[in-house]
Amino acid sequence: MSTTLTAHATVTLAAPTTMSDVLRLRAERQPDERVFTYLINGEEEGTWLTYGELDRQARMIAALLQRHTRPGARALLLYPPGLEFVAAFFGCLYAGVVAVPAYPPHPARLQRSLPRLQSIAGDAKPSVALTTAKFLDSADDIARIAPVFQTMRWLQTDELTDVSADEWRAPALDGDDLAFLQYTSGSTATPKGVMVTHHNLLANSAYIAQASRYCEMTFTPESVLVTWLPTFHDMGLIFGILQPLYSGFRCYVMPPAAFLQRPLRWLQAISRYRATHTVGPNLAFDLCAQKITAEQRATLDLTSLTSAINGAEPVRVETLERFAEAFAPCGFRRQAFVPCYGLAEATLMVTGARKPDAPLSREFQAAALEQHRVVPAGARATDTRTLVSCGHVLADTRVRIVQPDTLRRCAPDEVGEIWVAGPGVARGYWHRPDETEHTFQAYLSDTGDGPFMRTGDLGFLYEGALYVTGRIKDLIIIAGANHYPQDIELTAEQSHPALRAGCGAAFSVEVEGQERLVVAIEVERRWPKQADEGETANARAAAAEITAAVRRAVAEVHELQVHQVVLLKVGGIPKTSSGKIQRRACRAAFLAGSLVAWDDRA
Amino acid sequence: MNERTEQTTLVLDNPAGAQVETLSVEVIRAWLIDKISELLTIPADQIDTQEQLTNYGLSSMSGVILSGDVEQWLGLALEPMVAWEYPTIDALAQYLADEVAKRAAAV
Repeated sequence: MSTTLTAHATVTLAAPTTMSDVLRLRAERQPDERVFTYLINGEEEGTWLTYGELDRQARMIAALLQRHTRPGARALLLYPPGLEFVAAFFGCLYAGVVAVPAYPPHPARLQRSLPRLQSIAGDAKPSVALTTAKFLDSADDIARIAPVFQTMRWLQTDELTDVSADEWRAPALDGDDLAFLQYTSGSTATPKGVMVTHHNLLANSAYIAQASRYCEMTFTPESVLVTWLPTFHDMGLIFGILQPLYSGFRCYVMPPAAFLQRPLRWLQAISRYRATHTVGPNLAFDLCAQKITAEQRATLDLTSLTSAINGAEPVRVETLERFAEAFAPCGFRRQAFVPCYGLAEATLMVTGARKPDAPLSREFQAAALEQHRVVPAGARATDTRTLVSCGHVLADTRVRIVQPDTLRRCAPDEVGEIWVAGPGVARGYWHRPDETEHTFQAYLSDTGDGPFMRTGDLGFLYEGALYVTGRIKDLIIIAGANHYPQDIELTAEQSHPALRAGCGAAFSVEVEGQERLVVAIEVERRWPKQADEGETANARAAAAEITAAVRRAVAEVHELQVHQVVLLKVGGIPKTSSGKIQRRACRAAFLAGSLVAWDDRA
Repeated sequence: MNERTEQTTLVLDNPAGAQVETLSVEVIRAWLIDKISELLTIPADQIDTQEQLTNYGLSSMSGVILSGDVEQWLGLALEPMVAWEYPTIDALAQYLADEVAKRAAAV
C-alpha cells in the first residue's frame, strides 16, 4: 500500500517506504519549519525542533550507533520527558537499529520500576542503551543492581561533540524492516515485545489521517496538537509524536507529571496555542472536570479544538458527559470527542472514525448483553447499559466478531471477540513463536478466512460502529453462562457498607472439575468501629455478616452461588500502577494462599 | 493521634503562588490525612501516618496527583515523586513543614 505526503506546495512527494523517509523528505522540503516544542512544566517553552534540526540530530545519533552496532540490533531507550527521546528514536530508525522505548527508572522507585525493565532487557537483548548525559550518571547504580545492564553499551545522545551528522550512511531498509519493539502488553513475568515494522507505522499513520478526514477534523499544515502522553507508550509515541511529523503539523509536548500535577496546564496549552487536536486516556478528562475550578475555566478558550481523542483505556460515557458539561462554557463542543479503540498489536488504532453528529454512545438491554446478545434498548427501557461507540472501521482494515471458543464468525447481533486484519497489524511478538501464532495467526473455523490478530477484547459492531464490552480473559463462565467480573464486583461492593468501592476482584477457579465463583474484596479497616475488648469475636461476627450479604446480593442479581468470599485488608487487592484491578494476579494469589485476609488481623 | 490544631495562619485551598506563612507539622499532617483519605477512599481515622503510602495502594499516578494538590495548597513547587521520596504521611508532613519554614525565613 503506498502512501503519499503533502507539503505546503500542493505537490505530492515521492512515496516513503519507511518512517525515516518521512523525516528525510520533510527535512528536505521544510527544513526550517518547527514541528515539536517542549513545554517545561507544561507552561514555559523550552527546546524545540525543526524538521531540519531533528534530521541532523537523528543522523548524528545514527552515525554514533553505526560505530557500535549493525542494522537489526536493539537499542533500549531510557529518556526523561523531552525531545531528546524523539531525536534518539529517529537516530535508531536512521541506523536500522530496532528501538525499544521503556519507562525510565526513577531513583526513588527503583524497587518498583527495575523488575519490569530487567524483564524487557532480558527479552529484547539490546546491545546498547541510549539516554541523556544527565541520566548516564545513574546508569552505574542501575547496572550494579541489575547485571543485565552491564551487558549493554551505554551511550548519551545529547551534547554529542565527536560525531558528525555527515558520517551517517543510510542503510538499505524497506517497509518490512522492524522499526521498534513495543512492550506495553505482557506482564513482567512474560514480557511481550510487539514487532512494529516501518510499513506498520506508515499504514497506521495513513489510517489515522484518513480517520481525521472521515471525522471532518482533517489534519492540515495549520493543525496544532497538544500532548502530555508519555512517549514510550504507544499512543504517546505513534499519535503524539509520529502523527504530527507524518501529516506535517505542529505539536506541543509536555511531561506527563506536569499534567497530573496541574491538569489545567493541558487545557491552558490548548487554549494558548489554539490547538485543533488533542489526545488522552479517559481518566484525563475526568481529572480535568474534577480539579479545574470555575475561576480557572473562565480563563480558557477551547473553541479551536475540533478533535479530543479519547483512547488507550475503556471510554466511559459518564466521563464524556461530565467533561462536556464542565467545559461547554469554555467553548468545548461535545462533538469534538473521538473515542477510539486500539492496541499495540495493531500498531495503534483499530477504529476511531465518527461523523461529528453521530451518536457517541448507545443504550443496549443489559440482560441481553449478559447473554452476549446485542439488543438496542427501547426508549422506555429500564435495565440498560450505555456503551460508547468507538467508531467505524475504514479502508483496508478488517474487523470480525468471532466466538472465542468455536472460532466461528458471530451473528450480527452477537457479542464476540474482536479480530483484526490489515496493514497496521504488527508482525508478532519478539522471539515468542507460540504466542505469536496464537495471537497473530488466527483463522475463522467456518470460512477459513484469515490470518487475523485476536485482540482478547469482546465487543460487537452495530450500525457499522465498534462497541467494546470487556476483556475475554477476565470473563467468568459458569454453567454455560457468561458473567462480566466488573458487574459481580459492583454487586458485591454495594451489598454491605463495610466494603470498599473499586477494591474487589471476581474470578473463577476449578473445584472438583467445575468452575466456581470466588469474590475477593477489601474491607474498611477496623470495621465495625468497636472498643478493644471482644474485638476478635466482633471481627468474626462482622466477617460472617459481610460474607452473607455478598452471597445474598450476588445470588439475587446474578443468580450465581459464590463458592468463596475472601475478605481482605485495605490494599489487599493487587492493582496496576494506574489503579486497574489485576484479576489474574489476585486469582493466582488466592490459589497460592497468599492473599491477606481481613480477619487475620483481629 | 490525628487531631487538628490551629496554629498561625492556616489557609486552605490557597491559590497557587500566594504566600503562606509558617504552618505547623500538625496542620500539614491533618491536611494530608484528609487528602489521602479522599484520594484512596479510606476513612481518615483509619489512616496510620507512619504506614508506607504505597501499602495503602498509592499508585505512581495518584502520587503525582497528590503532589499537585499539595503544590496548589502551599504554593510550593514540588517534585512529582515527592510522595516516594517521603513515603509516609509523617515524613512528608515534616518535609513540607521544613520547606514552608525555609521560604518564610527567606523573605
